[in-house]
Amino acid sequence: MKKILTLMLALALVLSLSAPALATEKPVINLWTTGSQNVADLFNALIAEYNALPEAKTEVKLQFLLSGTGDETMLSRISSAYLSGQKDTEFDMIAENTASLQPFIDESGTEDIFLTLDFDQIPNYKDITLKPSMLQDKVVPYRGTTVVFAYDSARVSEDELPHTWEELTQWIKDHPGRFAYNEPSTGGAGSAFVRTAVYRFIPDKSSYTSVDPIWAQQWDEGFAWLAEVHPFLYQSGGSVIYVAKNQGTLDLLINQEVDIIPAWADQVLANIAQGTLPETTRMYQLDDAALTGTDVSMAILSIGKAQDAAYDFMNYVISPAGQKIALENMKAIPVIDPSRIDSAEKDLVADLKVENFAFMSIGNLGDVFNERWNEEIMTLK
Amino acid sequence: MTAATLKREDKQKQWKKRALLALFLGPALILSLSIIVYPIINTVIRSFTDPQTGAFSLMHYAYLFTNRIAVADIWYTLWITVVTVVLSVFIAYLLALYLRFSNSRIAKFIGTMYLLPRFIPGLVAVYAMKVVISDSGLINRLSLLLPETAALFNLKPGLLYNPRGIILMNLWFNIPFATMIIVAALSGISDSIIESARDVGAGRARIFIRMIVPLSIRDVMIAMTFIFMSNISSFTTPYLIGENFPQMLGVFLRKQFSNRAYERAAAISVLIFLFSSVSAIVYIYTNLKEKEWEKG
Repeated sequence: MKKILTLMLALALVLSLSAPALATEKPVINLWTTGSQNVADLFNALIAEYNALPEAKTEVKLQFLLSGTGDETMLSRISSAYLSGQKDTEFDMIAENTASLQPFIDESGTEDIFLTLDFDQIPNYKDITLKPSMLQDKVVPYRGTTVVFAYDSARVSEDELPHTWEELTQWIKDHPGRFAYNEPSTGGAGSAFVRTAVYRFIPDKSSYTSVDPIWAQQWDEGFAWLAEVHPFLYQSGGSVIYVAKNQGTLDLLINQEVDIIPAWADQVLANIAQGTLPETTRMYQLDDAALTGTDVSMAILSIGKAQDAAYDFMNYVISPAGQKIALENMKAIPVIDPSRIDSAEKDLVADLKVENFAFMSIGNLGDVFNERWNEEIMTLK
Repeated sequence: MTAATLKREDKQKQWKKRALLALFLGPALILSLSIIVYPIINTVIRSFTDPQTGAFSLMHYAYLFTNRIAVADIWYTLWITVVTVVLSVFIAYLLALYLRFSNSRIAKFIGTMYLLPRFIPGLVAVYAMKVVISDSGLINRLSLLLPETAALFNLKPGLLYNPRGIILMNLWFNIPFATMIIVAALSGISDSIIESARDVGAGRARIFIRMIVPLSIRDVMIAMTFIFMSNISSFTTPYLIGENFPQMLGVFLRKQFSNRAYERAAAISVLIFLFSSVSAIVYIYTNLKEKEWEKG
């Protein structure tokens, strides 16, 4: 009796050990990404659906680094792996704002850190309406996102709404304490606002996508404008405050402490869906210079071990099924024609046409920009 | 049994003892070497490195002591920390005296409740505080219930995003901790000693200054060093309810880190470490010093 029991136990052990081995016949690829929790939620949903598909060619694993908890090290780790000539690493795929891929090229010194894609292996790519803002042969955009001005139409009437930067300046001065942007280094909404505010003064629009330090000489007018509106921004305890993080300014809008803020469109939509922002919340752009948006892309790293398998997942993410998850889970702006997505929520993003996005990519110049903001604007009293 | 075998057994015993000691201390030693000592050495080296050339350089320390933002941040951090230490120990001492020498029901109730904040996760506490003290928070909403003519109508506490808010939050965290240590010290003073002093005619003030203070000062110092060390490097509180400028060193460090100025961040770490070690020296010194009482 005892012997039989032992035998059965041993058998069970062997089976349990071999079961996962059978299941992982498909190559495993690691998808690296950073962001707020909503990014992790999105990929967890996408990956769960994809891995469950019988025809899926690979098993995807998410490697997520939360913003502000060492996500900066991802760049160093991947580029140093490339520079030290490593092959077949765990760095298979990456999903980031397309502009954020530039530092990888800067650090490694070559675009070869990303695989040049074979688009024949991504049949859904032909349906994409949002073409990448850069690195066209290396990346596949999977969602769009843009910073917009958000306000509550119940509190700011249509006729007093500013439509140009000049009108905005006047509005801010007429309504002291009712406009806020978050500290630029803590979130993209504030960053897009200050950069657009400064770069709109530069006549040559190629500056928007240039990493050349020469443009820094033309920032003065913009920084003077930021200093000019500074005293009229949100205050607490008697001094002007730039709250931390994108959610910081959203909280101010939610609590009705301010009336207009720059914010990410998807975060505004998510807050409306949760009921934290009222249904009357509206989003819009100024006519003379729109706040910048970005395409968010997937790229395959040339140092990964399962490069071919990654194509199949990419193809899934930009399929109508994958885009439906992105739209419903994150309120992401689709990269394909919304009419092809079977979802009641597609009207939400109907106005946010990806074709109209203003792109900006200034690479390491962004660090110089933030440093100057810290020196000149943050220290104002 | 000969003397030789005895000696050998002795040696064996000693060897076993040593092996056991190594077994017990080994993991802690390896762990502290690899996750404390090695990173410290690494950080110190890095803080003296020029990020471009990799050569020895004092540039990061020069920056820390000359850049106006960095200098302001250092003073701001020291100022907030010292105010936090002094205020929390002062309030905790009064509370501890009350808890030790009062037998009332309220004292007993407070005695069981005062440790509660120590069981609430820091992040939760900071957000809870924000909900109460922000300009659109609980205090403000309660004040909106008052008639519009009242002086306190639409009261905006103005405590968020400035040093007052940080210090308030720090007190919330540190008073229970300091009280815990001081209460323990005061409990060590037996009633009989105080009664006998009173018998020979010592007044309340005299008992307090000549007996209670000397008997508890050592633990007060220990509480102060601990509060100093935990607040000089604090991050969560100043990050969430601090202002943009000046900032506490923890937030300043994180900002350097996110701008990928790792060497400069290392120099700030070393500076925080130095401040903490001053406090650690005070701690060790007070611990080594004999208790006044025991000198006899």
